[in-house]
Amino acid sequence: MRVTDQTKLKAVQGNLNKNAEELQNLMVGMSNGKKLNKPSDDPVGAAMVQDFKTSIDRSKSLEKNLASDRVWLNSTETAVGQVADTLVKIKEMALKGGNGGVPKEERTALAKELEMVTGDLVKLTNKKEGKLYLFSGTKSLTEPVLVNKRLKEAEIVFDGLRVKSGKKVIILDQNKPVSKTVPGFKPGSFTIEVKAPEKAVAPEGTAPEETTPVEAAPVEYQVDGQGNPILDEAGNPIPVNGAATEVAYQLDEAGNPILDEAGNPIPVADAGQKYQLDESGNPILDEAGNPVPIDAEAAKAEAAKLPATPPTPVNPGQVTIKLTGEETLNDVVKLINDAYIEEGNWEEDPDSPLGYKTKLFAHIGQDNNIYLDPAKDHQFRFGLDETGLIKNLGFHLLGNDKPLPVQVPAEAEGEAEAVEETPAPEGADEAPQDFAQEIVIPFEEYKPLFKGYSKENYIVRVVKPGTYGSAQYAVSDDGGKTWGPRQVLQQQNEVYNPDGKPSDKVRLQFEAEGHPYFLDGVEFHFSGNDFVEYHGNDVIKEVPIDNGIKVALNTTAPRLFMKQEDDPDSVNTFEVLNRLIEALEEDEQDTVLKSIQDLDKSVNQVLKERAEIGQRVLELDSSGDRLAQNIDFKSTELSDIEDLDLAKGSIDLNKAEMKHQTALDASARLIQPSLVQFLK
Amino acid sequence: MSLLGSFEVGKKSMSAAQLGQQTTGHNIANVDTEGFSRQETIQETASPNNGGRGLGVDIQGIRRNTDGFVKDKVVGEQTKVGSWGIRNQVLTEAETVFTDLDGNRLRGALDEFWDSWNNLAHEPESVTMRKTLVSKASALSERFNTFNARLDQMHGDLNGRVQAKVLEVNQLTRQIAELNKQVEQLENQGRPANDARDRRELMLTQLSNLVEVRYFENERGTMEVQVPNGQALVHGRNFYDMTAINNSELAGDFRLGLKTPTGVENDVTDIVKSGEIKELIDQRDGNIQNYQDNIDLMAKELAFRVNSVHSGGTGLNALRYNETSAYALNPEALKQPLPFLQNGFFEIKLYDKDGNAEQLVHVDVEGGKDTVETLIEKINRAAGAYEVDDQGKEKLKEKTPFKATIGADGAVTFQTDMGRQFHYNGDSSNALATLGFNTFFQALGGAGDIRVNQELLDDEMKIAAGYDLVPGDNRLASAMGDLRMHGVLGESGDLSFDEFYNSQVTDIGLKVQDSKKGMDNHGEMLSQYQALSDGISGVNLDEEMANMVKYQRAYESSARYMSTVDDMTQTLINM
Repeated sequence: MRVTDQTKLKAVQGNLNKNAEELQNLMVGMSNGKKLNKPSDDPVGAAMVQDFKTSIDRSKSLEKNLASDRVWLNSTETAVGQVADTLVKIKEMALKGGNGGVPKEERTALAKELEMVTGDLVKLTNKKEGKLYLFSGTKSLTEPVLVNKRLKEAEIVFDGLRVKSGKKVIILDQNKPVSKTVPGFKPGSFTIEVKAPEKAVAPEGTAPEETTPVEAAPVEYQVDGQGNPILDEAGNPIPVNGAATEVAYQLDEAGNPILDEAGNPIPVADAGQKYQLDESGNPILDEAGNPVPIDAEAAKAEAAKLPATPPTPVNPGQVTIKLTGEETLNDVVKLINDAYIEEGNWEEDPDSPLGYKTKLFAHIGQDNNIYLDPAKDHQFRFGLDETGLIKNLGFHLLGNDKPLPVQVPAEAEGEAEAVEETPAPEGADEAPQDFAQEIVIPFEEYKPLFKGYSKENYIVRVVKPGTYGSAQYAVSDDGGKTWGPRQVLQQQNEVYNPDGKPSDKVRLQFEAEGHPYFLDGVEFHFSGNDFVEYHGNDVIKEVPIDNGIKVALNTTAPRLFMKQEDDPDSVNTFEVLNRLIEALEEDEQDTVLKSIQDLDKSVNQVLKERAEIGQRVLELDSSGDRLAQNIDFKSTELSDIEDLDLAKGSIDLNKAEMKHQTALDASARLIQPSLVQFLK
Repeated sequence: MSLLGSFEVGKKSMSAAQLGQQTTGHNIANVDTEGFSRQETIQETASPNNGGRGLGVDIQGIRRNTDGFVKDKVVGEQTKVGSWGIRNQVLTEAETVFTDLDGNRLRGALDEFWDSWNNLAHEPESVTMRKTLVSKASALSERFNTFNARLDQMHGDLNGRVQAKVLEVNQLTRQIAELNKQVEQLENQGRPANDARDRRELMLTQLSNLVEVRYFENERGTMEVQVPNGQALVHGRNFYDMTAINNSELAGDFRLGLKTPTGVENDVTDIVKSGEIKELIDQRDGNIQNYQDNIDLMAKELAFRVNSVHSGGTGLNALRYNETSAYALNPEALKQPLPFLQNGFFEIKLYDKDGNAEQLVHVDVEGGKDTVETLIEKINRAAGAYEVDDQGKEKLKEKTPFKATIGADGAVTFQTDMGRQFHYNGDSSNALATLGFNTFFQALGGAGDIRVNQELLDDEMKIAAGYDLVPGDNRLASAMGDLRMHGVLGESGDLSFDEFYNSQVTDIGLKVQDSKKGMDNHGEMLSQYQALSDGISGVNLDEEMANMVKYQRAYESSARYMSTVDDMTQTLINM
């Protein structure tokens, strides 16, 4: 083949280029020590390199996590160990006091010491690591355990009414004539109505005439001391009649007594029993509230305080007060109260100092407002008001700012409309308004608080209205079935079960300012609480320590100190301790011994947890070893793929250099000589 | 014949030697000229007269030494070298975007992102860990964005280069057409057009580098150049432009066009099968687009999976009064079953103004059936937000503890009232993530668009590590860790994010290696063919030297002959 200069030149250039490229690659590799500088150098190797790098990084990061986890577990383990030691110490102390014949001073001292150690135990439970609590579960920013000496707001239950005037009347004015103190006053009369509750709810489908007699002639039922109806075995309220054991009355399905046209309850045995009726057909009631039988005009004489036979009210619960304008407000109040007594709107109440309680009690409160207190469960409304007194004083239900509707006489239409400010329902002028319905009023004015802990639930009920020192209360610990004896209500009261065991008591105290008036029937409810309250949760936090492997990191206060459902040998340690302290103070040997046995269980419970935690520490350690090994192994592999063997690289570089020099030499020989030089 | 006839012989001889020398000089001068073919004078004996006496030498012409067959091979191989060269170049450039061997690019950022979730799982109460997580997540988003931007840039570059090379093609075809004219004119007049032909062949070789062509010479001496289906690039003295076709559908991606004599633009992209321009287009639409698409897919899938886990969770500071979804759907889409939903449920927990738990809104979801509108209805029903109005129809209450509404723009809003707050209490149906509530990433546009939810950037306390409103709940963060190893991508759907990225890296590494080999191979072959071609057409200086000496001697001898004949004539005259 003919070889031209161009061919020679191109060949030389091409070869020199190739050598230069090879040298270049080797140089790059030598200068940064890697033979894998871009994916095309080794595609599969490049992918593996990335994987190894990821694995190494991840292992290093996990190692760091492990370090902090180990710190946490170590703290937990130490704390739990200290708890176990403390419990053992407590047990020893308890054994000392459990011997019979230990004198009182020693026992008291021991109890005090135990109390202090219990406090230490609480502090241990609330131990923190850094910012986080060790034993709170995942609510790690909340302190786990709180001893329940704290205040617990009492739940107030009261379902009655209280009517309060909207305007205060200062003391100076209370003794001035109302014509001067109440603007717009006209001499006249006003009416107040109180209605007793409808007993025994009638089911649907009961014929309406069953209910009418109840309204027309309210039948009284036997009530117990607190005013609750007494029920017989069938669940029927027992009507009040002269001789309950002798005469049985016919009842309908709802348990209401069936009344005949005269309004008398029909006895079962004989149908002829008749009762005295007044003109409007209502049975005349004696002072006990019983319909007076026609046959036997047995009049029971009450104590001399009362009139012999109370007059039969025309419309029970309704009073009308006539005012001339010269009466003072104090007089008005007295008039209302007297009216209620006179008109027979009272009922016997052996617990009351007066022997009775009225359907409505009016008084001027400490805050200079006029209060009208209907009896428990009674409904209330205003009737016709000619004087303008009621309107002007703006009476409203406590807890509801809307003034109660008041009927005004429709004298002059203009005047009536101008005066008619109260937003009354339809038929304002003519028809009487509905009775004010029961509402529940939040009685924040008492600010009642319970202090302490008890397993029992208590109900504290005011049985005699009044203020501190004059009101009285009774306590029930079985939900209202039985009540303890009456006690005087003070600003602080010890509440304990009717058997009078003082060791299981809480304190009820009132934080209200001034002297609030306690209404009859207001109840304060206490639901049992524990010696300690746990505010965390029972969630075990699991953290990932390796691919797919998780380890639990904490234990919670319930597991250490409280009864677990699935473990019959677990106990409520703090309860046990509290019981022990009290038993020592009271010198109750049996309780002390039992408490010691329970303490054994406590110690076991704690030790079990400690063993588990120890196990987890071991798991962490072995995980750490695994990670370290992984890092080593992968690093070696990585290096094999990625790194240039420097010795080999050196040799290769030398070879390439030599090759290059040889090529240069040969090229020179090829292109240099030419015929031109030889021609002359 | 007289002696005078001998002068003619001498004269012719000297002319021939002169011409030969000139030609040799021409060859030497053009030893470096690309595409030059060595020229030789063709000498023949002059036709003898009657009697058989020789009449000297005649120059028949100057021959151009070239071999059409070898030239053909060179042209064909040139096209292939052009293609492979471009392929190697483009892929090597793309490789640098993928090179992450020292952990500073996408893969490294992804690793650190997962690690920071793991750290959060160990310390879910920590604000520091959340700050770190936000920072790593932002870094990861940025890497995705950069990655995408660089591939986008490459894409744009390729388009630019297509345009430039099309202009080059047109320049070459114009020159070929002109040369055609010259050749035709010269050869019509009977003169050789050797140099013009050389130049024309050179242009053709360069053209074939850019575009695959067919060519042949017709009887008039013009070269016809065509694309493989016969449409003409150069026809006689006329040349037709190639164009970079761009229309609204293509959105900036050029295709190759060729104008017909009537001016119609034909799309010849699929007809031209090799050459630099075709390779640029192929790489742009093939590999580069694939890598972009895959990285987009990776970003979107990552965002969706992370959101799926995160949406039902609760951060340290997670109680809120209201939230509007990040995504808004147009009215038709509101009635379509939402994608990505699975059978499951989600819950929203309401708290009153004092922070006490009040109500749990529980909504069951049916995957493939529930639309945005049905979900809204279910939520409102579960929250008790409907009331019956006077006509007996249901409508939303004015004041209700919780309600969900669809805004005019198609976004969904959750609203509480009266100081109430809510947080999310778990979601196994992906509904919250699909609608766009409590999301971690937003990546509607893929890798170029992925970013951390602005709400979390503003307040990292909203990052959820657990599901309950307790500080130590780390279940969500643990679940994120599981996501790292989870297989979600790839054709069989079981590659993890790491594995998927690896597959891309390996892919481009192998392709680069492959293209390098191809380029080298074809380069070798081209060299071989060129050597062959050179062998025939190339100038060898030594040879020309020898020729020079030859012609010089010939000239001297002719001159001596002439003077001898002259002496002889003198003798005759002096007789």
